[in-house]
Amino acid sequence: MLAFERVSKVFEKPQRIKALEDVSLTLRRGITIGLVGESGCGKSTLARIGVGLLTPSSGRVLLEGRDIQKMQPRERFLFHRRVQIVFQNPLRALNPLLPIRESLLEGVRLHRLLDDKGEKRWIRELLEWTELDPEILPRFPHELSGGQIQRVVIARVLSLQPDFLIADEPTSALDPSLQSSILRLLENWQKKRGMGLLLITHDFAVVRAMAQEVAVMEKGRIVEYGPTEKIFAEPEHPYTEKLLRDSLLPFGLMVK
Amino acid sequence: MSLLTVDALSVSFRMPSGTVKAVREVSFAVGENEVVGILGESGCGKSVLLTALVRLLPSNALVSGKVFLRGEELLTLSERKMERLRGKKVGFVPQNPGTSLNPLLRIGSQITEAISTSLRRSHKRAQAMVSLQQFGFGEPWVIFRAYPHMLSGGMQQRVLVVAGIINQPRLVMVDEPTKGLDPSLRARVVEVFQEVARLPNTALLCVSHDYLVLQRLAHRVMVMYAGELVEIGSTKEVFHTPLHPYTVSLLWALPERGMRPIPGTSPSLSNLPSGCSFHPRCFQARSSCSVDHPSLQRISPGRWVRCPYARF
Amino acid sequence: MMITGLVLLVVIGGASLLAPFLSPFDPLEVRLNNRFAPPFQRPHLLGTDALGRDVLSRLLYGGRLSLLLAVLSTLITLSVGMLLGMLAGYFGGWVDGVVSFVVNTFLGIPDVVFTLALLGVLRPGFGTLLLALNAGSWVGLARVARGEVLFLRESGFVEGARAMGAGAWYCLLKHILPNLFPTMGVLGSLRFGGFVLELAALSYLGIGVQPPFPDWAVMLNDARPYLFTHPHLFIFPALIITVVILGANCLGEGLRDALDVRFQRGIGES
Repeated sequence: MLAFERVSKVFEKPQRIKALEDVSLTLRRGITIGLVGESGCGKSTLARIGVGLLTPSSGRVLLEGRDIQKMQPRERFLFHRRVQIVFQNPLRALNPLLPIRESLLEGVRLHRLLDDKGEKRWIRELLEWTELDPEILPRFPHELSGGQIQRVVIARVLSLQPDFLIADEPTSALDPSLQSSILRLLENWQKKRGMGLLLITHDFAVVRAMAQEVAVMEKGRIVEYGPTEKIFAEPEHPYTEKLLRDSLLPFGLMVK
Repeated sequence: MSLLTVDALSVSFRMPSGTVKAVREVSFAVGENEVVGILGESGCGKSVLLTALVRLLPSNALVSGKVFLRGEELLTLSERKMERLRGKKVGFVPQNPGTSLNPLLRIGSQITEAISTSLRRSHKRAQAMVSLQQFGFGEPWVIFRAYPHMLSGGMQQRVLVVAGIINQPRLVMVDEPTKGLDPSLRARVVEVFQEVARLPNTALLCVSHDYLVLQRLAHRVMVMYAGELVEIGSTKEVFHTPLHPYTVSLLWALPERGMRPIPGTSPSLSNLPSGCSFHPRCFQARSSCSVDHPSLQRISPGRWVRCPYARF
Repeated sequence: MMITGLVLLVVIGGASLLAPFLSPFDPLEVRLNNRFAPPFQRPHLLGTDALGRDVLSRLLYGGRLSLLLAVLSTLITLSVGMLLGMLAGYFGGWVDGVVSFVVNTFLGIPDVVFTLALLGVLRPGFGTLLLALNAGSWVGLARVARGEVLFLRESGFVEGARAMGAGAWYCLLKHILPNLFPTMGVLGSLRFGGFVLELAALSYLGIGVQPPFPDWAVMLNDARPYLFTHPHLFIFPALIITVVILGANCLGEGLRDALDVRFQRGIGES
């Protein structure tokens, strides 16, 4: 279990901003939680805190009950393997000077998970899983399309076989057809490995298709939380209603 | 007579890597008060199409075909006359806010600069403020004095929209107005464009990959793939009873309709597949599809499909 | 363009290095019976100067000291600038505070005055010159490096590495440093040209490289009284200095153009 326990975050520079206030959320393996909210509501800050890139001003992040701030370096290093993140923007998501092969293997090498033969095998498997052509391996990021880069980024992260993945708007910058293939990728991987997924998005359709539970965030606070179908059928908080309306989706009309 | 008539417009670019055929023999018309949507994904040539209509293409572009704005041929017009049209009779809202706004000028002056009538500065300012507010800026005076880099991408996009429509031109061409915006902002932008469309004598040509936007705004929709129009019809027809396999696949890929990915990737415009451009990814492709390049066929008035095997 | 610059510099650098083998005469050998020999005649292909010394030989030897000083200075400036820029940019906090303070202080001191002051106080010599050239020049580079590091630090791949558990030094050495090289390479080339010029100016004024060392700028200075009577004594060294600086600038500009394409790839697709 990866838990956010009453996490708050206040930024001092350049101005005093209360990004998160008293957020509690528990991510369990095998489950997808959708986190929805408008831009700037603090979702990305929460994501970064979840993987240890930022420290909360108050509150804790717990992995299997252990506070990550209090972990010893070794334990903390392992934490970084078990909890991973995918960011939104495919630009500069990869080191422009490294060929794709190197970027893909970075995590594996950092944690010394495989030997040379293992690496070769793993790369092949990874490429198959993410539907990437092996011919991109010697290429550089600037030669790839946005969709390919995002796939590489995901492959890179998944190569650590994390137990929990926080995906921060992984497909917002992509076209609909690409979006579906990447989301399916995440979903399949989750089913295969029993990964817990925190899917941060502003697209309700995505949430409905992928998440079992939904958390609605407004200005740094979680205003509603519950099973997906309930949230769609009987939203309680007015902000949730507003978001549902704004989504322009025809509800009750899931054409299969 | 339609407001805009496009006749067999083709745009190619000669690049060191080969010839890129961005737009291939596209023909369509936009009526006086119509809202026409072009649905397509990255790489299909939709942005190039719009840019070609306002003649803002880079110099290595090869354009052929004809474009008529109320009977006046646009492609052969002198640059000076074209300049007078742009921004006044024809509004254009481009896609990349990062490169379309001058980073050294305040937002306010970039908007008032776009206002073509000779009003007093204070009137122009007022007009700009009203428009800004209409487009969701709660404190327009702050935005007015701000520089582009102080705004988020979404806000920059909205500023571009304001600048493009402030003169209430006859024809407004919009390129991906909601890209990168979250649903709430998107809903706002859609509302405003709906208002713009309701203005008398205003037609809208809107390019987007987001079908929800087009569903709310457009009377008619044209689906674009690999530089060509592959399906045309009323909004209802295209989204409820899509005919072309690409349109069908695209709708199936939506999370709310099954989230079924389309196999393969969009073809490179410099290396198009033989025969039908969609056949490598088509779920009902036959052997003839890789050989014959289908033409647009008329199914019924206003309904066209570029597939001989489209179900109907 | 880059190639042009590179070729020019390599040729001149190579010639300077191989001067002992290429030089037809001893550059210091004075032959008072053969003063002011005109150029383009054997045996002195570029003529001789006021003391009968062979101009070609002096030109070949002339670059050695200046080029060496310029190369060393460039390396020192780049190293110090990059290091401090990286530390300040990546770690922020008090490290940044200290470095920025020093940088801003140095920026407030006019270069020329500082250099001249140092040279005036210390004995002329190789070490002094090296110090004088470098004391203030790393500052601008550090600033640029710091800015780049701030930008790079927020990149997806750096954050990604950190999220994988990578420590600060890993990120700095594997990701940030290599990505600094392009910009620093460009600036370095241009700075090299700047050093050559600066050194030439100092030597011309007599406070840089000292005669009788056949430095190009020293030759320029020696040639001053004979500017109109024997212009070749002035023109040849001036030409060589110009070519070197031109080469450095071409290299710098060429590098920048080449790297722009690679890193500035836009997202705009139709």
